[in-house]
Amino acid sequence: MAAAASDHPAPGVHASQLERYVTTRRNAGTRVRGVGRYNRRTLIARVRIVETSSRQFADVIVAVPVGRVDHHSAPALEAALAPLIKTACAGKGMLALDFAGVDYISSAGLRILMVTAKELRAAGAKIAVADLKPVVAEIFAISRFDRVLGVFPSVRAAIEQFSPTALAAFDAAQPTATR
Amino acid sequence: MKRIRFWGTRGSLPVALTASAVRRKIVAALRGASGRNFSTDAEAELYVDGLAFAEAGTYGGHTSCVEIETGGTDYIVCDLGSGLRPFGSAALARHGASSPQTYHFFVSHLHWDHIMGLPFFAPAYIPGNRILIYGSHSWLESALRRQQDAPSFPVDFSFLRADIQFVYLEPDRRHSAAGLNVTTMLQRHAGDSYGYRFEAGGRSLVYTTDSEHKLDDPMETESYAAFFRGADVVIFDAMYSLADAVSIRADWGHSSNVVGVELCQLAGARHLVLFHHEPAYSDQAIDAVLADTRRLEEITRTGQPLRVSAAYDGMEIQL
Repeated sequence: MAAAASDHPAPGVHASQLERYVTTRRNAGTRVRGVGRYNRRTLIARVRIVETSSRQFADVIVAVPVGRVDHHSAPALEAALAPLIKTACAGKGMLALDFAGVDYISSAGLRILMVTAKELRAAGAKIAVADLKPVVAEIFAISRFDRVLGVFPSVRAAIEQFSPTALAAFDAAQPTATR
Repeated sequence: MKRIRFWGTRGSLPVALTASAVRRKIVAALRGASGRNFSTDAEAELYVDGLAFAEAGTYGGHTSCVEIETGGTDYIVCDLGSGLRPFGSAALARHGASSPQTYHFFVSHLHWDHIMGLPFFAPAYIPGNRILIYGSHSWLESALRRQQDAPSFPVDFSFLRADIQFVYLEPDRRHSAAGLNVTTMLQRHAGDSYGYRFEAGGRSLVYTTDSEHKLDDPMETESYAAFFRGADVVIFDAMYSLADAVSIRADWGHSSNVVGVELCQLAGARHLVLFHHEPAYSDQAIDAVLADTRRLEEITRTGQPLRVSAAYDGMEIQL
């Protein structure tokens, strides 16, 4: 769906307007675009909204949340993960969370990861979290989540440990220069 | 409010430092002092001051009991854990048995570790002393009487000769008690627990122990942040790691250092005091939790710095 011209704020607008813009578009299921000096990722992080996209490689689903996962935005992450968990459970696959775009995660967000892990494991599926920023990696360590969730340096490393078929699909999908 | 003094800081069960643990501390301290000469006590004290808290001291083992000094003549105490016994001994040593005193006790809940000190509180047996016990549980009085019934205890509650009164505090309302403004808040814990917010003379203290935060409701998070808003000190149940609190120890009714930092940051509180330490934790383990918590505060800080401490038996905080 194309963005309506009127809901796209001009550069230099107040933070609350940016938040309203991002929230409106997220609720409408439309993609957030960059505004002025803020590119899409920076904008989402700035207004504390988390957006999650996903891709599937054989029996591995890679979910890519972007932004700050705090007690306000955690429900959005939970909602985004729900259908992915179902798919992963049904195929006894793996849900890999690419955290490269996550700037912060609060206890509310970590709780969602724990709930997700329990659901997946109960169905014989797996969870992995990959590519944590240094601050997020420290939060994982301090909360002891690094001891209960599989944490990997990269999405590829997580997939490699789980499924050769998925790894081949993942590698094939990467741009040639990064292979 | 002028000062907070901790008489008991351990969760669930009193614990004691063992001989082998003391020995390990001495050995570590002696090795650290190798090659040094201490010709005076002051020089030795200076060396000890440089050791980690877990090497030179101990967090102690009494269960929850926290005194609030207001500068007035009455005593104010949160919870009646085993720390109430040394508190009572200190009060008696200060005033003697023939000088009647008034004690105000605020009870978070009626689990054993929070009331077990009352039968050992010597001033309760002395006629002339006045004890007001505040709480938001309808079964406050019956629970305290019951713990002294046979066969659990040899001295019946009726042998307490002090003038003992029970005062019900309706939750979520501001009360005036013991010269303080007091608000209680219902918390998630088996049998319910209540957090206390005390305000007086422009100072505010939140005592919130035995409180589990489920983290699945943003509105609940906001309500706790409102209860903590701008507090000078927040004494917080940080018994478990977050991972344990939301997994193997979910529904055990306790919280974590991580949630303590987050709520204090949201509330703009000034000083977080980790409290209700897991009884299985050694002094070194609590030292590590404190270091982790300070680091978390540092890397997630968005506003004013939040001071972080770990309570120990005997600790005092100036308000």
